[in-house]
Amino acid sequence: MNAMTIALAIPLAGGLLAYVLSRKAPTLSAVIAFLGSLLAAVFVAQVWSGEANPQLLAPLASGPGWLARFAILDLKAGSLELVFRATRLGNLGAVGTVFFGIMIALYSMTALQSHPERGRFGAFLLWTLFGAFMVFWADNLLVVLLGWEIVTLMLYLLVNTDPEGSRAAEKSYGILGFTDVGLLLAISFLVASGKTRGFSVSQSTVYVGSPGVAIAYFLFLAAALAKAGAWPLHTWLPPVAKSSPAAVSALLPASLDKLLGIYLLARVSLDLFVLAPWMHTVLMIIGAVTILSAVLMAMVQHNLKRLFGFHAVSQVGYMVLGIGTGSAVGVLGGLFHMVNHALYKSGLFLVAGSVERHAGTAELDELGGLRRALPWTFGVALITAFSISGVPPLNGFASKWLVYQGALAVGGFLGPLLFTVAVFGSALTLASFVKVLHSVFWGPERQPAAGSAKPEPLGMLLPMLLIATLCIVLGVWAGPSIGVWIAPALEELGYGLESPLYGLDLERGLWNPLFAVVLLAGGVVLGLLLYSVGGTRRARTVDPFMGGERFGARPPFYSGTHFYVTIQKLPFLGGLLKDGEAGAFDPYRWAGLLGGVVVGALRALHSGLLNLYVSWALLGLAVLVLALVL
Amino acid sequence: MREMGLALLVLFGATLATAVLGLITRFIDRKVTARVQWRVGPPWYQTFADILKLLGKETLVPGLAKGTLFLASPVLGFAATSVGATMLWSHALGLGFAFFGDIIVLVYVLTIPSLMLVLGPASSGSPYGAVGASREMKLLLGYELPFVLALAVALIHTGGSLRIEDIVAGQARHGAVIGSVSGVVAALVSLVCIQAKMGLVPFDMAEAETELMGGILVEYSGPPLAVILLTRAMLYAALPMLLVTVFLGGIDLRGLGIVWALLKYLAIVVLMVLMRNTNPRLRIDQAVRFFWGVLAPIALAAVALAAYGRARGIPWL
Repeated sequence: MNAMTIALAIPLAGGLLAYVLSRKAPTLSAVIAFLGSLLAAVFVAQVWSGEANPQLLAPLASGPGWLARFAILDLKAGSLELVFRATRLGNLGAVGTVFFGIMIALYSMTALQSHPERGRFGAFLLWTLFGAFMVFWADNLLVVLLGWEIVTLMLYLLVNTDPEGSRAAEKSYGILGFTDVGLLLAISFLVASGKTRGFSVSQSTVYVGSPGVAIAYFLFLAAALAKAGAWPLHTWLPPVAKSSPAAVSALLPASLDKLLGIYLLARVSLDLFVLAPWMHTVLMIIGAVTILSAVLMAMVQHNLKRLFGFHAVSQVGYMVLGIGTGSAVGVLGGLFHMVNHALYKSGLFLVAGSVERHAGTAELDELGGLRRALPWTFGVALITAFSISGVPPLNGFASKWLVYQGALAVGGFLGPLLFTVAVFGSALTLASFVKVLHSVFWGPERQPAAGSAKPEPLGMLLPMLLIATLCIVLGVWAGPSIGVWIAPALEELGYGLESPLYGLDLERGLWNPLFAVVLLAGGVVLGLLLYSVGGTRRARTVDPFMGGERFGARPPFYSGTHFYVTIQKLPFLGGLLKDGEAGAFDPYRWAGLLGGVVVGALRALHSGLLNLYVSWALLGLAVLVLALVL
Repeated sequence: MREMGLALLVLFGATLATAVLGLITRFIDRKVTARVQWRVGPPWYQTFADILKLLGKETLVPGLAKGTLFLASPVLGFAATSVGATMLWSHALGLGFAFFGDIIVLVYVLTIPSLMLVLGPASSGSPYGAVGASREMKLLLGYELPFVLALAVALIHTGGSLRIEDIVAGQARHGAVIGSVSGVVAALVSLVCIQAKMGLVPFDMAEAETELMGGILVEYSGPPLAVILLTRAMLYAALPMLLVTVFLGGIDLRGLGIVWALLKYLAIVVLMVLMRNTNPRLRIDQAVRFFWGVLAPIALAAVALAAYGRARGIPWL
């Protein structure tokens, strides 16, 4: 038994235990989920540090550096084994997984107290961790697929708790399951055609030469993009975000699905396959379209969680764009953004959970003035919102800045265009978060409809504060954070990086956040000096000025949902947004409509008349005979 | 550590210099505007007196704005402007110590004041403030797109590096960005963009005294208002400096360069004052349509032209 085996076994066994106890003792299940993730973290940390120690693991290129190996089938022709191997990129994913597992398990203990499925939630959470570990550590394509499928299934089970959730869960399973089948096809093709060395990930290199291999790559890509939630396979994500509990959204669509999807994207695009240049271009364009289309949709949303869902799509664009550039700085940006996104987006969903718990709704039109009731949630919302909008010096800025560098370095006409899309997408993100802050936290307080109307409990607050702190730390100490977490994985993928340890001092760019923070603090001191000269501390409280009229206790309030009506009314864009909201660009809906047409035609043939059936059968027989004779 | 101490010193000096230059520029603007309108106009010290007077006034805070960013946002906007000014001045003075950010950082830092002018008023609880904030935000979205495209044109011409010193050095080698067709287009586009960034007519719909009673400024009084006005004055110095750095070959304050730098700076300011005095205020939807529908395609064409010129080795494109 080594650390990796134990780290895999704990969530599997813990999940079983939690599932058995889920009916009788749901609280115990939740505790098991928390303790199980904590315990798994100990062993994941061991794998991480063991991998860092070269004595424990031979370098990737030289021979079988596996850490865990289970033979499950030993035939004469060959054996099918579960081979696990700790890679640096995989370890990054595993560490992220276990971190978010702990955070969400802790959060959900109090957040889901009155949820009917909270016992099973603990079991599903642990099994999700198990599936994710399998994907991150597997050195066998079939094991990757197995873990991948476990996570897809867990998402379905976690979301499928009420009628609305059940529709969203079906949609997510429809899209993700479909691309999983594609993954299976791609793996079978590669192995059967001998392009890979058996099922091994680490010992195979596939050159994209023939159309068949290109199709196999795109099937891999589709699975990765669907899981991460990138255009055009993102449409499952916003409904899931809207209808499932915030803790589920924070666990899967916000963090783990990103880690998994981007891990697979990086693994196949930079390691397993050797891509043709035009494929990089395709990737970058997918990234740019994802950024822009989803953030525009986010701007016009009226539901907090659905809005966050669209942002969870939009931000994937930066990762795909960064990895698509294929340059060291772009890939670094993409991977760093994956980590940063997982942090601030899960933080934002936890904020949504806290808001929904207090107010009983996540509809922006019914919220308002919550900063007084939920001051800590407000603080976390501010930090995470600034972070996702890429306001310096937070972590979102650091990774977006790297992606900008990578995009511009593409050169030609495409490079500046991608750069513009990425920067502009960031401004649009900011705009939609101004709307969120305004409609949820500012203005007069609304009467809570059905919520608990209580401040956030410590169990929910703690993960939120921790995540917000990490958003600051990874932003201000971006260089050292990259050095510890991202640079090893980057090196493993074959990229070298010049001294990222203090500031991000690149050949063509420079960002030293710590320095900037010191200067910003200097500027703040100067500003406060002006305040103290003017005696602002003795500020007098007044009513807002309404042209001299008095409105009593409830002054008129301009809701944030009206902020961007102007943009919805723009000639071309407005129409696109309306169509997008109606599902015009949703492949799931189109597939459903197409399927409906086919099924409808078949149904029309089932008239119940014996003559008709007999004549069809005869016709078929005639065709068969004809085919045999000819 | 020593470098940081030095940088803080530069910050202090740059803030002071930018504030003085900005307030003087603001005075020129007001004086010219007054003459255009057949008024006498203010005395030279009026802009300074305004700030001092406001510092002496009482601070009023709307009840709903308590515990929000209402009072913090003017200070944060001011601090960000100081940091941006520090970057510009230390490059202009050729201070030569390794600095902390490139052109992206500079553009972002100079966007923070606009963001703070959205967040502060939006948190005030006043409908006028909120309408003003929403307009300011939409305006920001509007000009951001053509501005980034125009910036990309400059980056293509100067060799693709984002470091400010490389941008200036690239122009010293190959001639200023504005010396090319696409460069002229990009410079003009970004001139209109900084007009909007400053909230000057015709893009003052976020304040719109006649409809919104000051909009984003309606709830601010006393020192916070003084800080906001001072920040705006500083931007009046910093944003033209940014344009000079990116498009007009940079600022070099050593020797005779100071005259040359001043001329470039004044050229931009004159154009801004002209624009402000010859146009009526646009509606917000007109402004967004103008930026996205007119300026952005023009800037995109400039990007294409510049990329084509670079690929074919035709520098004047």
